[in-house]
Amino acid sequence: MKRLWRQRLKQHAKGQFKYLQLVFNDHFVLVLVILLGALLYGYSQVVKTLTASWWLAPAMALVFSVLLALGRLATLTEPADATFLLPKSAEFSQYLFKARRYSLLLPCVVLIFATIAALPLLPVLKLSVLTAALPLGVALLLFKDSDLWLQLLAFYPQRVPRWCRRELLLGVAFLALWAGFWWHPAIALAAALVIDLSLRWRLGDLLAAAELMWVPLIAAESRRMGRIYRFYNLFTDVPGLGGGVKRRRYLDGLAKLVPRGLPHTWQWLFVRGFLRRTEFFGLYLRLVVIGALVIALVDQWWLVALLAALFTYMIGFQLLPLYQVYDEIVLTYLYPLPQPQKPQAFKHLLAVLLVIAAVVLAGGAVVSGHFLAAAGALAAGLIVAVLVAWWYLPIRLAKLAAR
Amino acid sequence: MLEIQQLTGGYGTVPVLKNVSFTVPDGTITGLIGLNGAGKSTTIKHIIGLLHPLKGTITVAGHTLQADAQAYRQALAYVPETPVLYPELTLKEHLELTIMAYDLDEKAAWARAHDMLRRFRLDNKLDWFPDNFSKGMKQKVMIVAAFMTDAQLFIIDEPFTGLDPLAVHDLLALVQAKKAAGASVLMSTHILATAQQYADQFVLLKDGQVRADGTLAQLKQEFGLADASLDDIYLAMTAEGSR
Repeated sequence: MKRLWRQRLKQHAKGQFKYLQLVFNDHFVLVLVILLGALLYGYSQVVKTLTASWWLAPAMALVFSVLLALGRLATLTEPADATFLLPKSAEFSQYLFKARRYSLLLPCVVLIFATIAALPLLPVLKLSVLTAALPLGVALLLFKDSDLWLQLLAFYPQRVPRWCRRELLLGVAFLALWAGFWWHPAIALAAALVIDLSLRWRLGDLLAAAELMWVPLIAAESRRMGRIYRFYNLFTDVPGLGGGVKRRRYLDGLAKLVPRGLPHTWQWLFVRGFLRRTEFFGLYLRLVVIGALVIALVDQWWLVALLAALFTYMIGFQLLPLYQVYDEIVLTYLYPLPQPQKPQAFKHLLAVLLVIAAVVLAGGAVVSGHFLAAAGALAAGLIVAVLVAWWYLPIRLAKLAAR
Repeated sequence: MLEIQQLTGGYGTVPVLKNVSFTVPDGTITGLIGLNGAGKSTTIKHIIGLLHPLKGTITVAGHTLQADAQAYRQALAYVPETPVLYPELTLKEHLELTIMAYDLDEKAAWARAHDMLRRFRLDNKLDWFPDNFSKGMKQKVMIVAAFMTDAQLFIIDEPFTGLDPLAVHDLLALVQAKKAAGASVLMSTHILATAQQYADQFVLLKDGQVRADGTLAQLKQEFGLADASLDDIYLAMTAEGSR
């Protein structure tokens, strides 16, 4: 079983590495660094102006509870396991223990970073950084440890009492953290210690002679992987997750804006692909709306311009895979169309969509009454739109053609 | 008219096809026959331009893909074995796209299309997404799209599996009409009885090479089987290697 786990983990790591490489391509890393910098700067500005208010402790407790809830038990099981490993159900707990320990890794890193990020807030709560930081961090790690035990126990439900669930644990953690931020994090640490130790002490009893529930186990894992792949799918093409097609008859008017006729063939096709394939139109709308909302909430004109540029870039980037969606349809190779028509048509569509996006994003600043910021956002968005369509797209297409 | 001369090619640098040469003259139907893996699909992929030959030339109606890709593609229509359609286009839009891409006369093309759609009982499904159709119905859509064009060469990859008998009958009628109009047809199939009945000549592929080609009479002579059917000749050919 331990060998099976090691083998699965290797396989999993290889697959994830491949996707992460695609997600964190050079351009995206650049954007992330800028975004992170802006975020940290904004955070430091906010911290400077914060004064102790009654809501700060519960708000921080809530943020940490949400962070605690992140990170599911990664079992790396596959649907075939329920058939092939059924005779090994008893030994399979060894595999799951390994999986649980592995699942602890990433959430712990996140929680440690979150604790570090919270350090400047501790003095605002009249807590000493020296004595408060360590108990807070350890409490969070203990809560996560308990949480993952509970997630594992959920697949051995026979002897586990019904109230013994992770929702309850998260609720208790929230209250303990609230009390911890209010008086001292040692309270949260004490609560976490009691819960974790009693859980581990009872573990033998709860697991003994309990049957593994294979079906929920595999369903949970496939849901978890589905979420991860859907996330990757925002950046790259995940096979088998192409997304569907919706008729969207109400958009036919837009589709008909492209005239018919040989010179417009690719445009005609691309606009329908964009409007009816769920992975493009939905994403475009979401990013434009979220971007406009974020921009409406920000005051500084330079930040508005930066955000407009960033969102225009992201939207453009997300639309690029549309160029390849017809690669598997043999008909498109057969059409007697001039070669350059396809890239030109795509550039045209991309440019139009990005200009619309830039205008809507600038509209977000108009709504909040910042006209200077709106002008900045419009200019930044348009510049990025032009850069993406006329400079970045040809480079990407040349790379594609070289493959 | 399709002319293949000394075609060597395949996937990557390992040749699947070795020195394949044959001709499909105007106004004839040629059956492309061979076991699974003999190189039928590879040959077709080379003709439609999905694969590039390592050696040799392919000419369709006097054009090569290298010299004039647009004229070459204009002269060619293809019905694949596995129908793949645009998931986001309705049946009507598929045909509109074909009209656009081949620059067809809209009225005449629609007249032809409506006639075929009625035959295939698809005329009431113009606003549907054919991607959700059954395999046979999808294949009918591809047939309509291919036979709408003014191509001079029709390539049909294994057309008889998945189609209902009525549709097979209608397809053969379409093929014969195109033949009468002077087009050439290349049809790959395993249904030998139908091939024998409708094709004027045959190309027998084996291990990536043309084992024999010609009319049924020529094949009989080649294999020394006087009253053989295409089936018998096929079995004789496959037995050759195992001896």
